[in-house]
Amino acid sequence: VILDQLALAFTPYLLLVCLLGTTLGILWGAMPALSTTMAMALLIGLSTGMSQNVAIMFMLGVFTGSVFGGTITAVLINIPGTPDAVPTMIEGYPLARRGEGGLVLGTAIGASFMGNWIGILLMIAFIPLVLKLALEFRSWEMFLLATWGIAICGTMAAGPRPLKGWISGWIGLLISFVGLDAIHGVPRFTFGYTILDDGISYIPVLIGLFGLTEILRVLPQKNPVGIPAEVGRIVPPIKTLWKHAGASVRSGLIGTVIGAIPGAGANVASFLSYDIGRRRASPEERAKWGKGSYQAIVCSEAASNANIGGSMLPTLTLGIPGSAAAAAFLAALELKSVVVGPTMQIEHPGLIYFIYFALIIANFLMYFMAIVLVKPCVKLFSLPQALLMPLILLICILGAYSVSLSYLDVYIMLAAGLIGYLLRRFGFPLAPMVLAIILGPLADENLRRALIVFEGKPWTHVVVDHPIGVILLVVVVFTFYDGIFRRR
Amino acid sequence: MNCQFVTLAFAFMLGALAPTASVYGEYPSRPVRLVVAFLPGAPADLLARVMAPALKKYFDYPVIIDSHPGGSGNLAATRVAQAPPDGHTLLLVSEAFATSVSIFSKLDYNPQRNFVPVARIARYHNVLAVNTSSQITTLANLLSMIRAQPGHVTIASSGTGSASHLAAELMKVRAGWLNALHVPYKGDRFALAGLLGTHVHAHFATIASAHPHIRTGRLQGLGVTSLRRSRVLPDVPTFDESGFPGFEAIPWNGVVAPAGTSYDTVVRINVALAQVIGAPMVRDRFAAQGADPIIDTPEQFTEYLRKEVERWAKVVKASGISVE
Repeated sequence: VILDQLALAFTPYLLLVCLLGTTLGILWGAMPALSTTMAMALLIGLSTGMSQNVAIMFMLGVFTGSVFGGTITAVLINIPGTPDAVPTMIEGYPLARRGEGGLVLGTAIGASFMGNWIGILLMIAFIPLVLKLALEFRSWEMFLLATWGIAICGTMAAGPRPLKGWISGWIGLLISFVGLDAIHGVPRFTFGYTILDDGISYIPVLIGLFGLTEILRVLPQKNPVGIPAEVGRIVPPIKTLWKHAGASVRSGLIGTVIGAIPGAGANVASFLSYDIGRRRASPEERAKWGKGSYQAIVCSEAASNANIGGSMLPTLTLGIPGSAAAAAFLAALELKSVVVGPTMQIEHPGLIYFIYFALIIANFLMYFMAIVLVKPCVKLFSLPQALLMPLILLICILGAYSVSLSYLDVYIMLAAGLIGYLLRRFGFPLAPMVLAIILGPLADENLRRALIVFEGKPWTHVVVDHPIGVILLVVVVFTFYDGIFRRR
Repeated sequence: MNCQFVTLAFAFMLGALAPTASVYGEYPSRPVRLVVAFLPGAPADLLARVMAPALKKYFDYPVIIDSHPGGSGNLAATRVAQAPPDGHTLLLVSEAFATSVSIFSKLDYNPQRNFVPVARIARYHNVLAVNTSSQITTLANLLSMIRAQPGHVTIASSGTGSASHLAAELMKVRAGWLNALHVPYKGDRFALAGLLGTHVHAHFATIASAHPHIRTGRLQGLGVTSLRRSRVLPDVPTFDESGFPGFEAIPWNGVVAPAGTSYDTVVRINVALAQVIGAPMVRDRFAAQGADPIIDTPEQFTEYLRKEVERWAKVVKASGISVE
């Protein structure tokens, strides 16, 4: 059965479909605000006209491509195409301005490729184990995981004052609480405007904070310096990749496990892996962290790409999507009358292998297409600043509007840009704010649900019944302590 | 003479009617917007995506799906309520359309006053499921467990005010004001993950998502919320059979138009929907989503909606669910 599926997956027509999918995915991901989830959601409709295998190949191609695509604009114009590219952006953009854009993207491609492999291999080899671990993440553990992410806010702040990181993070948390609460549907901070019931979407905030802020920063300069047009070396030397092999394997593991937990996606994976990487880095490597570290890029990229394999795990075995993008994949398969989940092996024997092979093929094609596409992208974004900045402004506005076709998002983007500019002016880091906006709702919803479940139970129950929770609690406390008291 | 007069009068009347008839005959005169208040990939969203291309054949104009998820569907409903009532803007609704009016204290529309029902198109089945490791094997087991430990047994739902939440409330009220904890999740699949990971004791899941787990022995079905047993889970009794006569709590989907849309246009859309839903390909796709296709007349749907609104208003009032 496995060989049949292998032969089927390598049909020239399907390979071509996958190539098209990855290329479109990379370009889609590279556009700010066009997220992987949106690409997958649109494809549900498109895939109804395709045969089952074509749809799988195409969707997985787009999935793999768009997760990487977000990195391109993050590195070259400081706008993360997808939220999980924020850590890569923090490190990659300073390097790109030094003229190393090509190499940064090359390293990112290499790390993404590695991360994908780790995700796929772990998914195939350890399905039962990872799945058991993922289902152990109940509301309480999810809350702690999200809080751990928020705790990074303090340590992510560059410079000696973690306080500024906390303040930025706290503003983000406040923003994330706007809207109907997830448990009882009570409106919070909406001031009676129904339009705010759904809360403030993080995508326009992301675009404003990074894209618009960058324009405002460049605006007063007389001779703004853009990205040098020379692309330089793209394919990173094997030695560099080898040097960071340890970091990429570790990040790949983090990415896969987090991907397998329903509800936690690539965003959580890349931020956590970035922070863990910084703690594990050698002192001389850590000094580069925040100003342009290749190792940091490897950590973030390997984790967000390993997330693909990880998120497919609960999707394929339980029918419970590990991420929003995986949910769209699941929906498309259901439209083909394939019930994804535990009965898939009985009703559609071999299909799971076909999906594995499709993922592997998509990974290879992503690697090659990304290398091909890097050069023209660097050239495009190394336009003179006077031309590039208006173009970026246009991308910002269109990107914010396209999230839900609403002007509100454009205003939010503009406001976020102004706030971001002021905060940056006074030395506040912006990444903690994004982190808090993304993780705030996850922490909020899960804490409240956990409290409902814990009602009337003794505290010993929380300790005895939740061993993973205890470990996470220790980690969270340590991270907070470290973020507040550590002297740098 | 008299006869001539009658003929003349009749002809005149026909002439007067002719332009009106041609106006309605021209519907639709441009693409039709079907506003969908569900996340892309949700079962109801997929139904819309299945129907839209097929409807084009009957309308000669494309049917565009306009996604406005969020706010429990209230954002989309408010928007459509204000759209011109010419049949070019339609809204795909679910059971939440009938329950929101009782749950939300402040709502910018009324499902019965601001809309005309066009057709109910699908209904789903829910099943009360527990994890097999919980040793609960029957509905009676679960109920006695709730009675023995008031406030300790947890029942998940797909969200506050969702069909699964209301089914649980109905069960609690009907079984004698039971005290079980409601644990809302963000959607059926997340609630199901909670049940599989034994975070909660029970969940009113859609049969489409729960039956693979029931078949493979991870979950146990205790009762089906429709009046008849499900074809997919023939061994699971209905609530009606298990001591809750007349118990029915099922999700459904329907199409409504803004109030003021002419009856002719409503009928035209209803007929087109009936033809599309009758097609074997569409029926198969509906079945894949766990949906039973329904072909209702506008009158039947109006009556059904009225009953749903009344029925759930009582349950909501009895159980005290409300949103500011």
